[in-house]
Amino acid sequence: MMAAPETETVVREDTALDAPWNVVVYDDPVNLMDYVTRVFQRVLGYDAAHARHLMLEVHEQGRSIVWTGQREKAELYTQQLQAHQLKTRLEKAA
Amino acid sequence: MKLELTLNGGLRIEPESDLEWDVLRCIGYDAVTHDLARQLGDGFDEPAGDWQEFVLPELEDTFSGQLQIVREAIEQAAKDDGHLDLLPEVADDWYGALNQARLAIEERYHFALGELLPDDAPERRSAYYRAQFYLDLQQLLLERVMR
Repeated sequence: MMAAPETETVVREDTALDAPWNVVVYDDPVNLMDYVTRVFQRVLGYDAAHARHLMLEVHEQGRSIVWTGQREKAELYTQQLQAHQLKTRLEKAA
Repeated sequence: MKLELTLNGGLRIEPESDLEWDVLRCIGYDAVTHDLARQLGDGFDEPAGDWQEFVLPELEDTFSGQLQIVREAIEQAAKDDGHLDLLPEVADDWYGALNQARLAIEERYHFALGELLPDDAPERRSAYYRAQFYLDLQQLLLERVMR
């Protein structure tokens, strides 16, 4: 009689799926500051003061992390910001 | 060209000559040279494959749709009404088309780096004034028409 094959269960943690992602907006020479502020409010749901703060960060530092979180939602936000013609990238949070 | 706000929350544009209608038509001509959708994702890291497969076509559709709406509105108005009414429901499309045109002009001439020079070529001078006109229209739309 053959011994029943042993099944080994390996549990592996994959933290990559849960690792946060950053939505990063870059400065450009064309988009109007008020428009960028309005897009942050519209897409990300921020209040006017926070949206303006992020817009100024983009303008003065060349880029700003405007949202951090799950990849799926980060991808959606990236796509929506790009549809508003903002230069936007998705990157893994450090 | 006359610009005036309308009681229904829109912006009316009344070109007063064939040349001014042609200036409006230039929105489409300027923007069409610009591969904006691809540039927005330029340099994407890990999700590049997915982005090119799923997002890029949607962005291209969005941007070409904006240009189509603007082109059709201009041709229709030139033929029938003699004026264009930019209502709040199409203000985003107009703003987007104007932005595409300004991005394309900026990419070609780099006006953000400096103003016009006296000996600039007529083509460059013309592009500069078109970009200024598009910018003025965008500001009006943003401040007075867009919701």
